[in-house]
Amino acid sequence: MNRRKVLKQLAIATGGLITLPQWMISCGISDSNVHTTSFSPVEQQLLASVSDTIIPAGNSIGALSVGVDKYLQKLIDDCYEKDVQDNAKFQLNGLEKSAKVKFKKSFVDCSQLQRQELFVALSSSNVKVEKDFFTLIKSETIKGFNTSQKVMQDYLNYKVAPGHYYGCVDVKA
Amino acid sequence: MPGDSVKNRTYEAIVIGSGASGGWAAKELCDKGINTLILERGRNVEHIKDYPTASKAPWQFEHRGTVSIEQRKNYQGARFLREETLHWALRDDEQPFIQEKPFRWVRGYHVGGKSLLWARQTQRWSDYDFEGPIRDAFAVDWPIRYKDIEPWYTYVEKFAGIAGNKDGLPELPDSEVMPGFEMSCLERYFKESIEKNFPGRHLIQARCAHITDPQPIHTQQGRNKCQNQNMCNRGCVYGGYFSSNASTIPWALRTGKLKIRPHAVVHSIIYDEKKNRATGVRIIDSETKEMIEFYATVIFLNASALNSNAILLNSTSTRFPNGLGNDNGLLGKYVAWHNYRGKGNAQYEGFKDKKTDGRNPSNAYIPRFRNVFKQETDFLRGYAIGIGGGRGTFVSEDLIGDELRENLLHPQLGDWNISSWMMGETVPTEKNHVRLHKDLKDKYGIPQLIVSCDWTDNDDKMVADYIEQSKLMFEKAGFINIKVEDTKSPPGADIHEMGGVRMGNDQKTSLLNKWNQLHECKNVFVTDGACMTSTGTQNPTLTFMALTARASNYAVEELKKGTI
Repeated sequence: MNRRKVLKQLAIATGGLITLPQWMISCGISDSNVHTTSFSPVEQQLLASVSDTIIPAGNSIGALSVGVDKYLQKLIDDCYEKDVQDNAKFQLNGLEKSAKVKFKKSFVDCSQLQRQELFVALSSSNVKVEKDFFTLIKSETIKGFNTSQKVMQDYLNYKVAPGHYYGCVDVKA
Repeated sequence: MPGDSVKNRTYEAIVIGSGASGGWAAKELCDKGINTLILERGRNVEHIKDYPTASKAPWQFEHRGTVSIEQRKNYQGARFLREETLHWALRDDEQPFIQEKPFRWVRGYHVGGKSLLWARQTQRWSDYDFEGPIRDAFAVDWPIRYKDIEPWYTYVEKFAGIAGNKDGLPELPDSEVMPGFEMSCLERYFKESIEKNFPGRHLIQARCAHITDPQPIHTQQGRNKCQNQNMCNRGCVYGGYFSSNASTIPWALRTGKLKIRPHAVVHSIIYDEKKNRATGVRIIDSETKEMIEFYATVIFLNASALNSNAILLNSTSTRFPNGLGNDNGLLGKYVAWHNYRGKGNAQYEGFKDKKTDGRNPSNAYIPRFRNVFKQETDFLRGYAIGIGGGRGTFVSEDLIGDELRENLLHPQLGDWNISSWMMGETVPTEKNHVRLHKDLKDKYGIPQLIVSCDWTDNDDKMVADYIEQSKLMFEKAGFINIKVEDTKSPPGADIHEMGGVRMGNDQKTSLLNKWNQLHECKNVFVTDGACMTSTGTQNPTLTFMALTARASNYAVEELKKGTI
């Protein structure tokens, strides 16, 4: 799927969450696909764009096509302490600022190479929290991608129950 | 309480604990028509129904395995802190204990206990293990020999289902086996190298409690062939490996003779001073905190090694002021475990045209080769070595962007890896012990256990030998990037704690006789790890199960004769 299209849909989905009328919530009607998140709509787009920067779809599949952006949001919201959450948001907004200074446009509108340049710069930063953010987001993006159904089943030949173990077979040419 | 009466709380037998050994006691007693009650301190776990994560793929976990902060807050010190296994984790406030020296105490407090969490390795003991204490002058002589337990090994192996080979080694007697899992190319190569370069050492496929060729006795249990999921510690919907939940407990329930009482935290065993026997068990209901008594003619204590010690120590009376059966003051002493400090790994550059396929739920194994037939080193006893050799994939995660995606989607086969882990016998000493704290209690009002266990010089020397010998065996095989180290992990990390209520011939120097009865209170049997006089190097559960089946059948005979 087209990256820009995904990001646009994401924006619509989060907009939908915000405008959900109170009577619908109190009647228990809500969009179960959208979980309440501490990330603002802008931060959500930035996070999605960063994961897309790390693993772009190219001609096959990337982080966004297998839902890594949703996974990252949920993971950081639920499994990390507040200091890590706050730093993630701070760094996302920092990327946006850098993009505007350096490329005169929003991070999400930058080219892959431009976004890559901005994100990778954090990896060699002397500021610990910048480096931490880079390491966390990169490793969790890879994990989210590698543990997705599509990647595991279509590319890594994963089977829940292989039903056998062969200790010594030929590598197929 | 309407309908409640002493009669309703009276059984012929009570089994405390529902893990591998407790499950076997219940099965044997029920099979012989004995009305039996299992007291389990945790919740009930029904086979399949209560395995919420079994057979789930990684993407089916909300956080891909990481446990949320909300869920984690009551489990700071717990094991199994993954989304896959969180339901087995022990809350911090469930049973606090005092580590006089660092000790990892891994507990499985639910029906099935650690039989749902074990590594499923089942190697038999030989007389080179049973005769260890008498030959090397430590602990006390075992009151039994291999011939006493051999038929019971066979008995439990046939029922549990063991995969492995007939290896014909005197130091590791053959089991009743179904076909073993294959060795990998690298393991086979390492086997040849070891047997050529180190006469007397062997590399075999470890025997494990997995079904590879289901027999009628297994299908009758509702169990099927192992499907190589390697998700065993979530519970297995196929019943592919042995657990109380898949095997002994449902079997015992089908006799109509078994009742399971979960949420029953055992406080103590009741001793009747007039009758000179144990008459029942006091529990605290973990939900209502109410103290309730259950009564029986025979009591099997299978609460797991350290907790069985704690229960006996807390079972005080005028006759036994220091704990049930503890006239000699040795209860809680001579606790031992397995030395898992040594770990190693290396790579091999050959077999580039080969790989493995599927998943191996077991591993290869080097049985103890030190001091087996005679003493030959400056330390007592020896160690077995677990070996796992396979070929992994290599993915470069250096870059980001298109290259990273292509690398992730198309992993390359890497070098063959071999890993090695030490399983050393520790020599029980009086100093290594558990005792109850005089003041501190847990939330049930039960005294907290103090665990005081530490390594000895003998252990340090054995680790050094493991490191030296593993390097030599790796070098001779031409492996590269060899790393073998002392992880300095604390006692208990092996999850093989044993002893404290040891067996022996003499009531002055041991707590249990050759039938696992307390010398001083014959209707109490202790057949879990607490009964072990020495530890051997073998994964101990198979021996606990065989001892339990043997003692249960003896108890039934005595019950029927009216002599117990």
